[in-house]
Amino acid sequence: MDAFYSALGAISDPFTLLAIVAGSIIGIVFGSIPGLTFSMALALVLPLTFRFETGAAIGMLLGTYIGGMTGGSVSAILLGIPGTPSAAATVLDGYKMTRNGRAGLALGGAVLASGFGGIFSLLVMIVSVDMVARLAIQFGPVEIFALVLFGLSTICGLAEKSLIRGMIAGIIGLLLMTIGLDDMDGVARMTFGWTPLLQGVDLLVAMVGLFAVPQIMKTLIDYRTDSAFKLNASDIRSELPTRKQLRSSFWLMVRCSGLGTAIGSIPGTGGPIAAFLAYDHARRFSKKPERFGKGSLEGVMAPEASNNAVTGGAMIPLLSLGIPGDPATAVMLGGLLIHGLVPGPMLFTQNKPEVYLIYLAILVAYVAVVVFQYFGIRGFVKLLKIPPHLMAVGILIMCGVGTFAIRNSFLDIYMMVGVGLIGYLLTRARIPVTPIILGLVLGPTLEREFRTAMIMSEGNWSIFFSSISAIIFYLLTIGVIGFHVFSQIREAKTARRDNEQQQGAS
Amino acid sequence: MTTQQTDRLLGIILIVVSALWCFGVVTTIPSLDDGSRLGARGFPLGLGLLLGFLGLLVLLGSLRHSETDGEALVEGAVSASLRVEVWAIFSTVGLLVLYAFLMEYTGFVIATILTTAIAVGPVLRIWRPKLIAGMSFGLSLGIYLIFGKLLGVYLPYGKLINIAF
Repeated sequence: MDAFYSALGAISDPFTLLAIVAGSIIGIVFGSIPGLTFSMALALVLPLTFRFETGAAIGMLLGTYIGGMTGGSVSAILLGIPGTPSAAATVLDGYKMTRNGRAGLALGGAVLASGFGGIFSLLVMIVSVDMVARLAIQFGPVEIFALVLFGLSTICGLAEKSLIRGMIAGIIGLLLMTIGLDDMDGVARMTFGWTPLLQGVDLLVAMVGLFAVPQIMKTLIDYRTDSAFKLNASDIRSELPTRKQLRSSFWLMVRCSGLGTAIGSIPGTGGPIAAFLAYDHARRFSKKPERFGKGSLEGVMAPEASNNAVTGGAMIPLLSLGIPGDPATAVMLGGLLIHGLVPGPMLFTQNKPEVYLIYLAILVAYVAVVVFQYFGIRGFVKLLKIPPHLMAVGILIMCGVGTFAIRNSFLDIYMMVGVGLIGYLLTRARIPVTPIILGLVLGPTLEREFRTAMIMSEGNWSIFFSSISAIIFYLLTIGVIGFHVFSQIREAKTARRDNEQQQGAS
Repeated sequence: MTTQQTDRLLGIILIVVSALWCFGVVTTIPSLDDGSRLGARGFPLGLGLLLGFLGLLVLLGSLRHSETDGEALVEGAVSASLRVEVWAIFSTVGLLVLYAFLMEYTGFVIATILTTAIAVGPVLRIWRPKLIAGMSFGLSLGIYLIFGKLLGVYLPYGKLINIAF
């Protein structure tokens, strides 16, 4: 109980509260503007938290994460463009409601459902995360290696269309993390005698470069080709659903929140899948399915409850096993590590107050996000009117200042530019950049545990198959990859059949 | 460029990078493997080889399709969009490098004002003095107050000149 009181004391600190609120606002802003992702917001916010106490730093990061997930609905409803991929399902009915003159109700319903989904998933997380961690505490190097390998299989979910391209990105991340001084043998790797490289590629520098720089380039291209979004809506304010509407959607929100939490807890799935499944579920079980796609409030509340419930779900493997499930939680993992919190089973014994602090920060962040998004909608509408190319100039400056602040090094800014350029060229070659982060974050643990296990067994490879838990993780890894490969083959077959049918018809 | 041509180029680049990487690993990292343990060379070498193998898969995949497959674009459209893309890449990289350079020698304030003004004026070609001045000074002052004063983030001092608000 002392740990809880300690966390309560930390969360009531005015600076911590301010940090959570600031993070929530930054998250909503980045989430609501199409093109600006909240993963980018997290990468930009992280260097600012260096001088904060752990509580304020973690609070600000969680606020940004939660604000970003919720903010995506603003542009989805007002512009018909999802601010985040998770809000893509919200567009289907949200934008129709705006065109029908019911934007206020759509925004109010989205805010309420988002808060409900988030807090629901927080409760599930509190109950389950400790249980998972208790199981994981018995893990040795072999099990941790197998677990991290399973974590890397989330690349399948992040690989978008091609598993090979996702694996290429993951390996680039793993290769980058080997640069610098090797912890175990104390030898320099791939530094070519250049001393500054001994400290390796900084995770944060890579994050800012990979998430922010390519986006600035894309915004400039949109500006020149005149394909940037434009907001025509004028005076808009949020409007809460009536008691009757709430009563009729309550169980739908509960079901969709459960669905979102479950999906979020599976690494590599994430908000978009949860939102579309929830939308489909809502339509199937609705009393008025014909209204879906024409401006149904249920069609807005179901995906919003579900995609926000993903936040709590994704925290379960992140906190208990140290496995990030999506780009944002990968950045979150980096943030926790930088502030001395090592997610995994030991977190629950060594950092109990911080664990309670995380729970409380999520709760406060959801309250802040709901309040700000509900009352501050006019401000966000104004923000959406700022031309994206001018916003890009501000982000460019932030990239420079934020990267410099990491280690007070100008070299880091040049490295960030280099990584960003590589990131852009990779995206042009249809290689997703998020698996690079996953490789950078999980790579050191993967190598360390593998080599430790080899030392323990004196070079006997059979040690990797000596534990039931490890074998289960290997099977899960094979299962995830197999499922992804199978889905890709099926999609390719369907596309080929459709193509043949079209050619036959013409 | 069609998607097949892009894939072919990607495959070749990955194979070359993999070969260079493996050469670098073998020649610069001492081998400490003695059969009972994996030394510092094992992981980078294994990963380098895997990257080469994946590059080979991409290359072979692209060779399976004919030249005419893929998303071929109209020549004029390609050159126009490529010009814009190259402009965007050079502008972003150029502005960031300039910003880093200016910060090192003139400090945060001058660097932010100049970089923002160059970004809005010559790069975006928005020649509105009020907007340029407002954005340059606004960003500089805003970041100085929020980052420097409120959050206590260290903002760089210039080696040659330095101005603070």
